[in-house]
Amino acid sequence: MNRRTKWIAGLGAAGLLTLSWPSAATADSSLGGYTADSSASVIHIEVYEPVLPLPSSPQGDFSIGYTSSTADSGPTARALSSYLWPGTVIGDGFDQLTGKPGTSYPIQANSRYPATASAPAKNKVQITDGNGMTTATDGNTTTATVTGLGIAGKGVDLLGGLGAGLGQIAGKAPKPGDKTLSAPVPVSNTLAALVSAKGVTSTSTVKVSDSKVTSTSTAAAADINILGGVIGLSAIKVTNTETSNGTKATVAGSATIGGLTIAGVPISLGDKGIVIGKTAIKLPAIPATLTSLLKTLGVEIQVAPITKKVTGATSTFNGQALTISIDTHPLKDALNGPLSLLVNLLGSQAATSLAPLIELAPRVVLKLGEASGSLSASPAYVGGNGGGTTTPPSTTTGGGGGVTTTTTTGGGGGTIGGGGGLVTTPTTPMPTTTTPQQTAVTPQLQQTAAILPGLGSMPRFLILGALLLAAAIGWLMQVAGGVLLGGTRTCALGLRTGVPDLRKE
Amino acid sequence: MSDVPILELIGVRAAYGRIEVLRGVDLTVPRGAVVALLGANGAGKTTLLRVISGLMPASDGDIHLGGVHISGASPEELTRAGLCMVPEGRGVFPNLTVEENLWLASYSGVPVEKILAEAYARFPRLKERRRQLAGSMSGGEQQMLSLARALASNPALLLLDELSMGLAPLIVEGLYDTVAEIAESGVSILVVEQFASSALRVADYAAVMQGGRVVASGEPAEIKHRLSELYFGGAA
Repeated sequence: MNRRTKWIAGLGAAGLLTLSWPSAATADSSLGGYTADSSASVIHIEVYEPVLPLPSSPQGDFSIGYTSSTADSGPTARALSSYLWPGTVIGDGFDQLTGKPGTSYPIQANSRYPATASAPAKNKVQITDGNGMTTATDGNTTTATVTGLGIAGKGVDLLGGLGAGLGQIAGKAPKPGDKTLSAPVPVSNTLAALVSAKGVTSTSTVKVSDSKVTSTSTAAAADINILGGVIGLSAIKVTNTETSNGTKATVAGSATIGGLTIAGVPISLGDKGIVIGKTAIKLPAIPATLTSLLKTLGVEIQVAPITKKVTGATSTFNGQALTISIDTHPLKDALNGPLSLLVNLLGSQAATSLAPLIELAPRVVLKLGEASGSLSASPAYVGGNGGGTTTPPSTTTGGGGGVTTTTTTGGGGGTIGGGGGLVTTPTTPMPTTTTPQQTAVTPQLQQTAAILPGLGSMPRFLILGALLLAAAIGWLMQVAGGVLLGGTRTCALGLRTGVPDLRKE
Repeated sequence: MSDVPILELIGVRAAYGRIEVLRGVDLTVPRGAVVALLGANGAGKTTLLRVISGLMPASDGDIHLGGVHISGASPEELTRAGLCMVPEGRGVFPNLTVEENLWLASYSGVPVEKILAEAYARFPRLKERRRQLAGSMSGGEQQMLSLARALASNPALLLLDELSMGLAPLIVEGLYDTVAEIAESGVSILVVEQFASSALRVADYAAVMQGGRVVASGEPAEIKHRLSELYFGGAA
């Protein structure tokens, strides 16, 4: 075997090895492409104050126990966890808001794929003992987690308590005599008066396997006190699981609410929720005095509907365990008014705790236990499958349908007694084909995905053929160049051209 | 032995930019013969070797190797075909040992053991110096090393450029004895030389270049007889 043959053989072997090597675009997955995200927050607070000159609604929001995982084919991925997340605008645009390039919002952990210096493959940040955030991603599995003992006020303000925690994040060594508490994260009195919670857990995960993409999110907390204890919940939990194999998606999820009390009185909670105050739904189980109390406070409690949507290989989920809307105008009036019902019921100590709420915006919405996700995937391109299975247009019936939307509201009833009862929303996975419109449209969507080659799923023979074609063109160009430059000028004597083996006579 | 000459040049021209150095060289090297190409400095001898070995393109003319037209062939192709050139200045790697220099010749596919055995058999001096850096050896020893490395590729046509440059006459005589031995083994040799007497002693044919042309060729005795006239009197 001469050297040229060895070179060609070596290049050929290298080419075949390259072609047989799994492409980066698909990682370990045979899916043509995918995009997935999941997020969860234990408590999501929205502040509506139209007076504020902010071009958004709500004008402000932040989350306690926030996690988010996103992944796209490529693959690229990001995991974010934050014990106290001020929203994407402030959280991700912190350096622009502060005018200090390079700085970032401190109460967060980040991981990215590909990894960066500020977002390594595995990240862990501990605020105080027992309260921490972790993130991890390898491109295939992306996970963000917040676990902690919750948040509480108890006279410790944000700067005094949380500031010490931030010092630990910044790497400052604790001074001798410093207290190392294994306790809920101390927050400002204003926030603590609005809501406090224990046992905070939030997890968001996106996992890409060989044949499917799975997105899950969970948010849970215990001993939640709202408005300084006026409303109490022993536990909340929301879960969401979505999967897609490129042709079909499924979504399942549930919300669990345990032990609702209002002013210490156990309340029954039905699947249609309870709304007290401005709206008309009135549950007989709630005593009239409590109804009056919530009305006075401007409080509205709703078991928010869980929204699930499946369209072919795409799914979305959005759910909350409980939504509490607080209009602070009545609250302010009640606090300022002499001998109001609120003061009579709560006493002076609670009224003092509620005093900071006067500083809040007119309307605050608390979403307890929030989970959401969206998922979309397309199958890998397989050569030859592009033309044979198109559904005839005649089978399409119906007009504009084609989107499967199923909304599940509330749960299956059940009575909550004091700290014990549970209300659980249905957990049945969503059917994907229930109407004629769906059966007609879904195959067309799949067909479109199959025709378009996904990134990294080009047929091997096509790549090999392109390489051979490029080599042939290169050889022809070399020959043409030689002709143009006279390198292959024929012999004046008519002898054959080439290079003989001189060792052979 | 074939009648086809191993090397035949017909009207070969070559230039460095606008300066034409070879102005129609005609030369023949019969198979198995030693041809001495003589000429003063600037006659175009080294350029001619560079053109033959593919290091420099010819602007015109025909180059035939073994009866085959080889215009445009690369140095690698010619080397694989059995053409080998020992350049002026020897071209050894001064910071490598003798043995390492010889190892480099194994790129042609010949086993190292065979290369070393043949080199040491032909040049026992190299065996004594095998661990010595090539740059620290004498000029004659470096020339031996250069020859040994060239022979490792089993050439059919050997181009030697100024074998005697910078060497003592006694050493030069010894090297040309070796050239004669190589020629006896069947290797065709084209040797370019300024010092005519040693080259003519081992040559079967001789040619003299002047001004980019071969101005005389023939038997060594004849060329030797006309050498003064050709070098200083001109014969064009």
